[in-house]
Amino acid sequence: MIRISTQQFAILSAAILMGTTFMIVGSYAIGDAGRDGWMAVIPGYLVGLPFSLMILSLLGKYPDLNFIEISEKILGKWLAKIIGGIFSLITIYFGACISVQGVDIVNRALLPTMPNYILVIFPLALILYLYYSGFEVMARFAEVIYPLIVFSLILICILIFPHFEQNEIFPILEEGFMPILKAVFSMTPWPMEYVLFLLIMLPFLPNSKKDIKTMRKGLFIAFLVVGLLNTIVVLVQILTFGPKEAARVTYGLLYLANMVEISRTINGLESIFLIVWLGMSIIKVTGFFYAGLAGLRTVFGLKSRKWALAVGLFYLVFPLYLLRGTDAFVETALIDQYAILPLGVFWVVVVWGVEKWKSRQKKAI
Amino acid sequence: MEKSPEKSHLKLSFKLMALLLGLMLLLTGCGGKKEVEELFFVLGVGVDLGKEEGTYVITLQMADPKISGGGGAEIGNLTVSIETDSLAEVQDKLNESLEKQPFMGTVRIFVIGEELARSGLNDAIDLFQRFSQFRRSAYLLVAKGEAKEVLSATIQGKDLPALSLLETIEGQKHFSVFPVTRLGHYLTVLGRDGQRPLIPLVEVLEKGEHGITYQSNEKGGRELTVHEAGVFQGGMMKGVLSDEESKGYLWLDDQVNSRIIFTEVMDGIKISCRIVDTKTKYKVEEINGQIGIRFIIDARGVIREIWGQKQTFNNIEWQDFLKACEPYVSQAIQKECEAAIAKSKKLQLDFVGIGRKIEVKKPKYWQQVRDNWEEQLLDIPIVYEIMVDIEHAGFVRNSPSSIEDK
Repeated sequence: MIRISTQQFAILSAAILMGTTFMIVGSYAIGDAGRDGWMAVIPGYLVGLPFSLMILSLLGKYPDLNFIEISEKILGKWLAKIIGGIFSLITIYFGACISVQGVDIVNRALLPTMPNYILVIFPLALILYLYYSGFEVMARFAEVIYPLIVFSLILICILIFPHFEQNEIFPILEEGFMPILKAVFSMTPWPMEYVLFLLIMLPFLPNSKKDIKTMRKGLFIAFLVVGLLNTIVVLVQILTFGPKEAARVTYGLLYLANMVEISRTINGLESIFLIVWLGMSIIKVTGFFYAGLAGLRTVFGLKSRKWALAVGLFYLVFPLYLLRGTDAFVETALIDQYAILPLGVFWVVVVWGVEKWKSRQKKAI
Repeated sequence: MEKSPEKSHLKLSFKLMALLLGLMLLLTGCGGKKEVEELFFVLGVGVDLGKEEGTYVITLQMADPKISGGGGAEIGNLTVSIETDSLAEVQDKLNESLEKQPFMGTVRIFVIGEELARSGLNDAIDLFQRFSQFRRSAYLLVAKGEAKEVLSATIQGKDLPALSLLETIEGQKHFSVFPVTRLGHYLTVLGRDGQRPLIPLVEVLEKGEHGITYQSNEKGGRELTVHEAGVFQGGMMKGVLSDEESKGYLWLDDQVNSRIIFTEVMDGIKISCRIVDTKTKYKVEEINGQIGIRFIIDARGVIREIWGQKQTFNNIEWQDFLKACEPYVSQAIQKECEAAIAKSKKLQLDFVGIGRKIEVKKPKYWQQVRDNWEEQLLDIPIVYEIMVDIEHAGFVRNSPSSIEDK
């Protein structure tokens, strides 16, 4: 099995963590915490860090096993298979929902009359290509796309500067800490999405003690960088739109980029960067596609490549006929809140806790 | 030798991908695309109330670029007014009569008719915010009268009134004589509890009106001027600021880049002082036992013109004269500021944003007063601290009038 490097791990982690959250982070953070919303982003992301470290801590002991297989050893075969089955369904369905969101973004911002099948087939071809090419290719794809995302976000934040409204971030903490806590809670599912992906990534990671130490550091940096970038995106939205206006906007970044104008000549940056932004969506969808199929393979032993095509067919049909536009936005939020967050927290804590308890028991004997 | 399963898997995936990518070539990827020559570029949109209740008259001013004989480009003006139930419906109606599609991505000016502004414009700007082709950076104006009349005026020098208005507004970067409101700024201020939005007014000038006569006036054409400003509450225009009040607002909101201040200084001497640099700060503090606001304006100016200077000053006297002029310029600025505040109190609409300033500096106090803020506005103490530094008076010191006297 080809393992990715520790650097690829850090960048792929940052890419999956980021996904397309930079599009909606403003709406969530500012919707809950108003002009203090920017303060909620980094804490919201850091909630996922301990869970990720718990998973990494199992890597040294159980190399070459994904979390479902580790769960089988710790919790027993059947309980692990039930949880693994639920995990597969959630990840496959969630990945499909994100792909609909990608279509929705293009429709709203750029090409309202573009036939959806074009917007679905092209990314799906890329997703299947990444899947069949193996985990390392996905990591390399992230290495190419992620710096472009960082560049595009920073560029937009700089170019929007002339449109800043004075003092919109003040007063700070006017409503106290409660709205910020609410916003932190709203964002908690995002790092948990990554946590679910990490569960399946384990067999592809290097597992020497030195590498695990480096990956811990990489993980911390990935969480911090993604949190910081999204904080900047939220801050810029508050400074440009004001809190009430920013909370009304669905995809704040598109709206920001739409305002950028350079010397009365260049505008419509959103259409230029949309391709790159969709690259992030593709990485995330591929991640969940991968996770779902790895789950099916582990739980049901479905190793044939035809299953990937069957799931791919679902990813084709779902955005075309089953879910559209605003429904995708709502559905993604619901799965995040009621499926991904509880599953991630429960599963990781239980497996990690039982493993620790068993280790202590063994040591005591 | 037997092939490894990994390798054959990879080969098959390449075949599959090649097939899928090949199929992409059969798809017309640019769905909904329009060639440039198939488009009319909309530069200005006017919205008026229609004759029938619940209808609007939408005026679109479109540029129709054509290649002229000399190889350059000419811009044709196509201005269309359509009465419809909704703004978006205009697209449908235009398709019945125009050979090209209107492209909204180039809209730079929105003009709202006066009657619509008074009855409420927020519904009418919903489309401008929602549809991705429109830009939040476009400018908002309220027409004195009808927006249709503004966009269809025959004016001097420019074929397209929307372009002329755009140049006028962007000229405010150099001289600040009326407030500039972008769609985005209006929407942001709309969300503030402690400030009401302002939109400048645009007027079609008849011959000699506003003290200006243009060549085109002589030929029967008319001109456009942007001055005064409408104050909005809940999307409805509740009052109009005079030129002096609008300029006062510009000082208080730190929006002045440059201005000419004309004032009498002493013994019948009048000066025009060009303010070349200025900054307005404010402090929210206790004034006479009550929370109030202190505006601190720091301006740097140069004398552009002197009227009625009969004496001849030597260097020392000249220096004293310039110093003596400074408080008069300060007073003239303060007069404009006071006019804006007086109007704000009269209308009980805080367009200066004193409430917002209190919210920023004293949030706890703001929580106490926010519910009936505009009633409390009447009693709020306001202090001005205006410092003008006149640096020089151009190429000459003494005026030609001083020679006459000798």
